[in-house]
Amino acid sequence: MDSANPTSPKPPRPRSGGPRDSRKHTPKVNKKGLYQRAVKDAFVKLNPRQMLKNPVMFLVWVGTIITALMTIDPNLFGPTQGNNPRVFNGLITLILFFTVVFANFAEAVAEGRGKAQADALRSTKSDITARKLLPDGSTAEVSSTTLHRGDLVKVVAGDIIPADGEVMAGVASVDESAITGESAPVLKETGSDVASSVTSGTRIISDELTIRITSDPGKGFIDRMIALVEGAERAKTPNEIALTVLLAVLTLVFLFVVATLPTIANYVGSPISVAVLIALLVALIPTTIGGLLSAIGIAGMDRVAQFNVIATSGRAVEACGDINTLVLDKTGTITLGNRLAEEFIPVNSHSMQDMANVALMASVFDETPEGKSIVRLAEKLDARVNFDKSQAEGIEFSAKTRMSGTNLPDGNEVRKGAVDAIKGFVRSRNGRSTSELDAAYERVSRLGGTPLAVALNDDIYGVIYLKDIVKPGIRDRFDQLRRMGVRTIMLTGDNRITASVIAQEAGVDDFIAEATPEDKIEVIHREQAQGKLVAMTGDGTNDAPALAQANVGVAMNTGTQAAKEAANMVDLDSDPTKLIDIVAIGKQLLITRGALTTFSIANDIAKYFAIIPVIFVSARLESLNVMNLTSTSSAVLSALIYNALIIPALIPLALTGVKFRPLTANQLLQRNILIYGLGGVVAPFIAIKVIDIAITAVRLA
Amino acid sequence: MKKIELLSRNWLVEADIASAFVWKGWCKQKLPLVTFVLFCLNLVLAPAVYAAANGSLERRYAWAVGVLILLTLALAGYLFVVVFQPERF
Repeated sequence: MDSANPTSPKPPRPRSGGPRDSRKHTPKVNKKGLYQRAVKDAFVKLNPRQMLKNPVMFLVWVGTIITALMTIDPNLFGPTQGNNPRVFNGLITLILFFTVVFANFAEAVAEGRGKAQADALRSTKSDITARKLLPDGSTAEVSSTTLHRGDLVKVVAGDIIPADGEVMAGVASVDESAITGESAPVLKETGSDVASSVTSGTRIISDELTIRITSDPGKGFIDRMIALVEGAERAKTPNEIALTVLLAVLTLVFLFVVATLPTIANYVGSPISVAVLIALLVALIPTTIGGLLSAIGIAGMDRVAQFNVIATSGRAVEACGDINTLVLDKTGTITLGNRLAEEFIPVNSHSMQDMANVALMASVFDETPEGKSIVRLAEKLDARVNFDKSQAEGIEFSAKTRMSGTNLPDGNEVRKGAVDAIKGFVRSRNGRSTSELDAAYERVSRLGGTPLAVALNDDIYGVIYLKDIVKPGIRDRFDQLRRMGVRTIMLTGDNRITASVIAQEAGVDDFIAEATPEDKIEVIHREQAQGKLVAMTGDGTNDAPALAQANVGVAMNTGTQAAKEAANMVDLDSDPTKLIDIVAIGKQLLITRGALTTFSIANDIAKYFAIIPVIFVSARLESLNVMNLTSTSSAVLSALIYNALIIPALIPLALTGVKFRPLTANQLLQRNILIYGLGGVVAPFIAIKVIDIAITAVRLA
Repeated sequence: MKKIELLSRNWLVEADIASAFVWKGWCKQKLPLVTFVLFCLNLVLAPAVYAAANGSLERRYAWAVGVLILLTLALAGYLFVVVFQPERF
């Protein structure tokens, strides 16, 4: 909202751009009993209605029932050969059963973590008594769950805010630590673009507020996030749908292959039992990714929630991974945001004292951190207010005029603001600008600072140097983004020289100087027209259209209700830099899914070489038995045991995600093919051989 | 005097009631009806399997193999539904 506003307030609590984990929200999640519950849920999920949701595992589940029937009657589908087929079929049944249970367990653990996260979020909400303001002005004590959008409530010091809302009257300090983990209280007041919105579950610690409720019961931001992390409203994302189709097609192909195999087997004189056919089918279909797919998605949502970001859909989190362009505000995102007056540069033969006096006069009504820092610097130079403040009029900053100031009681007008705007102000009063002003302006700009000109009526007194510091480590993060193919565009209300200095220092790819809020939406439109996905942050009402237009819009929790409604994510910590982390989480989610899919499909090669040669013994395929497995039974059991055990072995990777590395798409592809593709081919060869030796040693087959 | 065929009318009404009952049951519990339809289809398939086996299979095995073939086809149908309507799963 204030990229064009050189002196506007910024969201409080700026944070440094340190490593990702340091910005992770303090965990409040209670994970006690998580695994016991997951074990129980893994069995509950065996309900056929739930199993139908996962096509790959449903096939394994049906196969388990058939082999179970064949354990009871080994000759169910015709006379069988071999020693003790009942034990062999029983072992296959047991392994297949555990394959399904392990897959259900993976999903249950991910859901359990989500539920624990939801419980932590829910603990910030409680059914509390609210003082509802009635139309006649009286108050009635009602339960917070009965409050609806548009209701007015009064909260006083010590109260918990009953629902999300907008401050209508009053000024108060609010402790938002319950949702942000930040202990410093935040000032909430009416009319402010960034401080008028309050969140349910936070506590008012001084004074009182009148709040207009902006959400119906169960529809607040926290409620939406609870529903999402619990999985109640989890719809499949486009990538998940595409992968489900791929897995279903692969399963269908292998089903046809296995169904037609008995004809060939009979022809070559090696009849195969139905139990072995089912074992072959289960070994070939991508059970690993089929069992872990939903766990990966749920864990991705969980990771976003850990960063204290409320996402309104899984689609939004996934879209982060495909982002091509980041549109970032300079102040607060790229720089620390607490711009402070560093120096006064007098011009037009004015003394430093004159300059300090005029700067003080122009800033006495300015409540922004920048305005206050100007007052402090002026007072340090012995400037004093020499007029009656109650008779003077404060002129607020606006994006249109790009200046603020004071109308003095004696009719004089003092202004400070963007140099161009002040030049215009002076010209309109028959004054003139000088080359000395331009030199000061250029000097400050070249230092990466924001120059603010100060004028009294038609006379320019000098330039205030507002110093802003580029966040430490931000350049490295932009470098990482660039390597990942993400382009960064900085928007700032500063002049072109300042913008270019900051852009160069921070290492952004492009910048737009003297930007208006409308420029944001224009940049987004332009990028999207080139087929790119755009992410942006915003906090003001005038950011709402751009937040809605962006593929990923992250609103700050300190922002207005309109911005939060338009965005598809809300950052409870109001840290604009977090957008970079969210993009990394999205990419990590996609990379994890891709890596495990590669691994799962690559596993097929070893399983194929394990089972096919031993079931076609009479076709003399011994040369294909590269693992030299003992027998048909041991080969089938080894492949199936590997197939079952690899699912729980990969649960930690599915939940924590593949370690994120800022590499280009090509480098990532090469790396993942090497680790998960080649690893997926080699690992099962070794594992199946080891299991075969163990099975033979214990005479299981 | 007009002749009313009570027998024919009753048969139609009862068929209508029976079909309504089956439809209601279908909407409530699909599994029993699906199983029934599968076994009906197996009435055709099992003899075909028995004939194709050329005497190498006993009749009861042919029935079991028939059910297995129908189950495989049902799974293939289910997978096709997943491919064409993935958002349902």
